[in-house]
Amino acid sequence: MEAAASHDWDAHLDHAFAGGDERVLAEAYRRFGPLVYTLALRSLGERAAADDVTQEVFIRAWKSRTTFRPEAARLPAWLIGIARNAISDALSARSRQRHLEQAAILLVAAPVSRPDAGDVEEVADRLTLDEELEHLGDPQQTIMRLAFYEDLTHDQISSRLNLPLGTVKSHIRRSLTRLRTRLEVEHGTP
Amino acid sequence: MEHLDAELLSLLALGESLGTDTDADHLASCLVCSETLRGLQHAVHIATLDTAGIELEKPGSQNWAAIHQALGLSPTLATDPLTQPSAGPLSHRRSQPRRKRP
Repeated sequence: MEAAASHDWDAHLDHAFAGGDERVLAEAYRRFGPLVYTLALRSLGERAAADDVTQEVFIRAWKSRTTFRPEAARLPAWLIGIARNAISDALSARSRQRHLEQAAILLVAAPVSRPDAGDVEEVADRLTLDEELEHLGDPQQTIMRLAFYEDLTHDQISSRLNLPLGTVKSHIRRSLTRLRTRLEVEHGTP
Repeated sequence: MEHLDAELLSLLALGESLGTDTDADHLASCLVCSETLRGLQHAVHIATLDTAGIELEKPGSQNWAAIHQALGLSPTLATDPLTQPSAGPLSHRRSQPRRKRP
């Protein structure tokens, strides 16, 4: 099945989720379950482990829904954050287990080779950046949307929004740097 | 020479054709500037990623059953949502056509 984009995930669903509407959990699972599952499968390489992570993510999300703040976060990006944590927990549990098993025979663990997770990681990152874009506020958000999705140059954006060129350029610089930083933080490589 | 202007790097990352030959030479030989540009280009790539067509795997129905049971959800939600095409009135779908960057 095809990857879910976040642009048709309405903000009112975020509020309904935080408010305890179980149907929104089911809808979130329908929309983002496959992404969470595929991310876990690519990282962990085993269906049973990916099943565990998938269940844990949605169970954890529902149980901690009162800590989800719809005014500060979007549900798709929030779920991806929980998924990344759950996957990383599963990886460390596995490496601890390997370490225990191998300590006895003093073997150095060989790096585990995994199938390339590229495309799926990028879909998850897209959801994260969608949230970050919404955090930008205006006019930054409008400027970046014109640059990204209407392919306008900074000159054209400046005319379209009737803003000075220097202002547009400086907003683009700061916003793009912020998006880059968010991706680095998300992947733990600041 | 000094490093390239951060605003120039951002506009280059967005695919605008700007800068002088000197800028291009500097970029080709400067690790700091080329790394910065690569990071910004990656952010642009992700932000404009066309997610349609990227294939995902569907989790088996035992997953929803386990979630449903663990959380004690309403019996009306017992069916795996992934076996249903849409949750009806909940999904306000607004599909926006997105242009793919060249």
